[in-house]
Amino acid sequence: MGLIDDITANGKGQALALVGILAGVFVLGGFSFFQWVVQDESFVGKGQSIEARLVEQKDQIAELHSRIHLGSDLLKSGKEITEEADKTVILLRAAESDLAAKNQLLASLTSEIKKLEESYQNHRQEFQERAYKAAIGQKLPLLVLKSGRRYENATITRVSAAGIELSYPDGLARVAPAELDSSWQHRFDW
Amino acid sequence: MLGLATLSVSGCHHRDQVRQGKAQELEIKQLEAELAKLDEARKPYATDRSAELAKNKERLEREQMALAYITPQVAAAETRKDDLEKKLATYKAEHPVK
Repeated sequence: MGLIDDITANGKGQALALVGILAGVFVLGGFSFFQWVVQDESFVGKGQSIEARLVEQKDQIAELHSRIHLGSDLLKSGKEITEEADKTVILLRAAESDLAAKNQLLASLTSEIKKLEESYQNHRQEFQERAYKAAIGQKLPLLVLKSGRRYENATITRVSAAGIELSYPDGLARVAPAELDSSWQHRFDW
Repeated sequence: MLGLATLSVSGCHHRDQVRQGKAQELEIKQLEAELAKLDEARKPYATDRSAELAKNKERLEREQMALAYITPQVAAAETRKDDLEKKLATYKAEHPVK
């Protein structure tokens, strides 16, 4: 019966001293209990105060935010450049293909134009040669030139690009295409 | 009692700091994960294609200029061909070779 006996035996003063000691023990116990409750060794680093660790974490967070921001910017610009590069490649291929096709078409058209020109010249030459040949020996009872000169009973002896050559009772003559009327122009395609 | 109150306040403050620290620790882990994800997303674009882009843009410009030069030539050649075809057909009709 310790405490009651002490109060009884030693009086009020000693009892109060004992209560004080008990209160001190209680306070120390409480402090220890609080320390045990709040202390977390897994968080507080070795030899580092919790305040220092919090500051360090804040710096780390700020640095991470900065790196993420930079990374996002780089990702955005990288995507933009890649997309534009891909798009340019497609446009370039299309332009190259278009240009090659147009070059080929132009070469083909040039060749066809050359053939058509040759065909036109050949046909014209053949037509003229036949017309020239067919006219030889044709008798012209009266040929009147644009100038008014007249040839009677003439015969065509030769036809060329330079005109017609005639023989008539008074001799020979060469008549230039310009001196003949339009029917002669059309006939020999001068 | 005053001592007890002081200890209590001190303990609560310490506990808040620990909570804050743990929250920050979690935030750091999340940010690190986000950063790792970002780094992974950037991998396809690791090669800088700026030089390639500039070179291709230059080539594209040249090709487009060449196209602008040749296109009217093609149109003129098509017109010339059509005209010649008509001219030849008309000539043959007007000057048949017998």
